[in-house]
Amino acid sequence: MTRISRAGLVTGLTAVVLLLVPPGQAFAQCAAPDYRGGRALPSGACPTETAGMASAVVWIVLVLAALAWLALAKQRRRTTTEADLALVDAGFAAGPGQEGEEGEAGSDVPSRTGQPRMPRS
Amino acid sequence: MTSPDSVVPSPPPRPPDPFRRPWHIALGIALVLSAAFATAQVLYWAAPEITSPLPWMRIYLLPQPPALRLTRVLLYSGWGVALVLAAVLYGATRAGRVRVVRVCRAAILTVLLLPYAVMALDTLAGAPLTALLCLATSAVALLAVHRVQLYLRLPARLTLLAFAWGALVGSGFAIVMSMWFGWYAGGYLLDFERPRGSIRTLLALFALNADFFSEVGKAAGVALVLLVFRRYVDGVVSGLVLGAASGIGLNLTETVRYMAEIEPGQPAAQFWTRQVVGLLTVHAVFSGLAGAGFGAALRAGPGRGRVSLCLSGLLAAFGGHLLFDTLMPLLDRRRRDLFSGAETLGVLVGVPLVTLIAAGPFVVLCLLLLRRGLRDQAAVLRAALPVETASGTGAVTPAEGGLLLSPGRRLLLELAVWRRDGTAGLRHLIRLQQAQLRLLHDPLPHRSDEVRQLKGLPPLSPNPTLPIDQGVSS
Repeated sequence: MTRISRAGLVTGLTAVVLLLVPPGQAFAQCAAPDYRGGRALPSGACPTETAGMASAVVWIVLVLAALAWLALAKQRRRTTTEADLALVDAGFAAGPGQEGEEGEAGSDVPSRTGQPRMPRS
Repeated sequence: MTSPDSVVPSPPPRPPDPFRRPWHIALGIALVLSAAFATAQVLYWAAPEITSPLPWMRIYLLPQPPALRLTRVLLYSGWGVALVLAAVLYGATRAGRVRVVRVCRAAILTVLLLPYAVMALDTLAGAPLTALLCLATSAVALLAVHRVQLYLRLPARLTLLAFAWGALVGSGFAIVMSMWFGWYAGGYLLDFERPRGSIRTLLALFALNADFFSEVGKAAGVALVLLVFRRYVDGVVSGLVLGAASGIGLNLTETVRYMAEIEPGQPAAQFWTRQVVGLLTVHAVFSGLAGAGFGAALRAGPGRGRVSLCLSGLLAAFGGHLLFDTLMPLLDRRRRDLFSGAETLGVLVGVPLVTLIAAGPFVVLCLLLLRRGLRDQAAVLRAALPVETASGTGAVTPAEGGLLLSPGRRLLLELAVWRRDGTAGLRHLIRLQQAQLRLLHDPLPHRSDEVRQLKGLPPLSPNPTLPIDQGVSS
């Protein structure tokens, strides 16, 4: 499991725990969903545990979907992206002051992986 | 090198700097908030005494919380300190002491505005776990709002600054003004002989007061950030993003307040309503509209059009918020009728449905403004690209121009650079591309050198005005 996936799982479980603790009544009085900033009037029965579960599910799904997309995008290689990478590297390689990992300057000297690299700060 | 016979399109015209006196505008904003607080205080002192046999009337006789007393002390002290600093500022301005002038101006704004954060901090500190949970969800929303800037992007610290304003000063100001109204309005508006008859008027005016001052509180921060950092602002998109960030911040504090103080018996329902369904559809949208108006005004020419744009944005925000708060109780009654006997569906489907009906048009308006702003940016960049590539500075090559105008390609490139070079490489790439986009959008002389520095190329001008960036290729 990658670090990103682990982080997502921990986040989701934490959200679930925080929302479900302490346990609420099954049918507490729900407030009208307004945003006045003052006291809202009660407006009928409301299953708060359902609201908590729904919130947790929505956020977990969103976070996991984003992490899955990130993981897939990082692994997938596209021709266009490779070309853009080479383009950006060429733009930096044209500069006289580039410092590679080996401490050598100039665009003709490849990095350890054989590819010109962006400068690292 | 370009052929001398080729026709090089002229660069797009740059709008003049519209705010020649930003300090006066910033001070004016701070004074408006102070005047509102002072007016509410005076109304409270002058309000008729509330006497009623009805037990529920005691909500108008609650004692002031310690946080409000502290806010009052800090504000009164701040007004005194501001007066003293104003005298120092006057002397420093006449003497031409720039550093002292800057420090005085910053200090005046701080003592006038920061006390409002006490109320918000009291709310957040009273429920730290809830605040942390809401902070996590708000951070995701903030990231999404920041990344909708497909081309020119504000520095992340400005988005965070607007968020912090909304969460602390904006929400604190809104809470304080709502509290004041709750204390003095009953004395002026209630019919003590028949209080139930006037309670409807009181509740309506309470909503109007709360909505107005929450929008003013959020918009004040957006205006200040836009003024101070206007060199980064491109127009509607920047303003909309800052406004949305401020709204997300206020929504965070309001959610914690509702979950921990106002409706502590149903925190999950409040979280569902405010941090899931309403996270990007209520406060963020309304203050986004105000921010869009301010951003457009920043790019407009001098004159009454600029004031109209600001007022239009503010009116849209306040009007939308008031309409939303007016519609929600009516729609909620329909929701209860529709889902009676199916309370679970009433929460899962009914709450999003009523929110969509009440706030949907404003969400659509925001999205249309965003789309228009992004299209305008893209058009300016496309028009400026051949001019810049023909200039021969090397800051933007034709191939790089195609990459810059494609947000999708840039996103995939960012991921590729992140995978290969880590966070440092990604930050450097983003900095370079943002500098290139700013050069295309506003071709100021020093921007070419800035881009060349980031690429590791020597500057073109003999005496570069930019300090050497320590993070550049070293």
